[in-house]
Amino acid sequence: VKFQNLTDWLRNGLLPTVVLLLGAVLMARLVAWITHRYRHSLDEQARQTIEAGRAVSEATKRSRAVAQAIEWTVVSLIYFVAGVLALRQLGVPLTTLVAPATVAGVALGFGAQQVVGDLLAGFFLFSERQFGIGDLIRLSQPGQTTGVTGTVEELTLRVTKLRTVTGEFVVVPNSALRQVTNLSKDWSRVVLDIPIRATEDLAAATQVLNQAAGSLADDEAWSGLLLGAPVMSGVETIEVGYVQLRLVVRTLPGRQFEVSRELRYRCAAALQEAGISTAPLADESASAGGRTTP
Amino acid sequence: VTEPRRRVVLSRPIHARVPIRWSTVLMLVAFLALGALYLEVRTVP
Repeated sequence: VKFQNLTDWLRNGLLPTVVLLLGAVLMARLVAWITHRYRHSLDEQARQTIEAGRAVSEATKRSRAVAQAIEWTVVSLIYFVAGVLALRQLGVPLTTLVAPATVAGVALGFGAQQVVGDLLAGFFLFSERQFGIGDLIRLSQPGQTTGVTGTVEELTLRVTKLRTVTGEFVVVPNSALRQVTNLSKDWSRVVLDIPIRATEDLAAATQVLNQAAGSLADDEAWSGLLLGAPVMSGVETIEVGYVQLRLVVRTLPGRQFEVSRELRYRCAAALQEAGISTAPLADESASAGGRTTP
Repeated sequence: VTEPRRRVVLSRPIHARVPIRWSTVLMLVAFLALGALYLEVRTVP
């Protein structure tokens, strides 16, 4: 009788459980493979767009992030359902597990409230379209402008993974995201404040800077990155010994740093060539500068 | 500099052009074989 029971259990308990678990793993792998293919095609599209000098669309960035989140959710769901079915197949009475599961759920809820918070924060992050994969973002405390700046490499419901400009890989739980500054949404702007010695001819300096900025707009290698002509806004500040002239130009999202470096170089070279000093009256060692960017 | 970790046979793809791991093939075969066996030997109606 005992042997008969064992063979019955093997036939109707263990065997279907193993089949069920194998099916779950295969299904999870299939989902992962499909989303991987989809993300790969989006990456290829994005690569071609960047090579053509255009900006990757917000929809593409969002689709990539959503694909990752869907994969994570569906795979978790498959394993959960398979686990419940396997327990039932093995003869574990699920109804008697309700009470212990409730207690365990409460205990787990206290311990894992951070994780639940992360998942909820991740859900709102996706639904509000705050940023997508490939976006350049800055994470900081509310009201502050300093923090971690990096490109979003991976986005799940629980965490956001960034790569900083110095190559560091930063993982932040979504509930810890307080103030997110997206530096590459729709368009970006370069703002250069160029110091000119107080005794210099400001009209001449403005003309030289206009010409330098105009040369950038006329350059085929750079004009594709600009979303308008550079504009000299005028005198931004008057300090002791020097004044600051402001130069502004709109660029493609995320391309402001390379444009600002080139613009700074051209302005400094043009001022040097025209013999216009950027050093304050009291300090001969200073040179042309601007806002520091990553 | 550390050497790249060698992948065990099961985690390698079955062919350079076919991105399916040996472990997936093995699981698929086991799934089909055990599934067929279950349908054959099950006694529950």
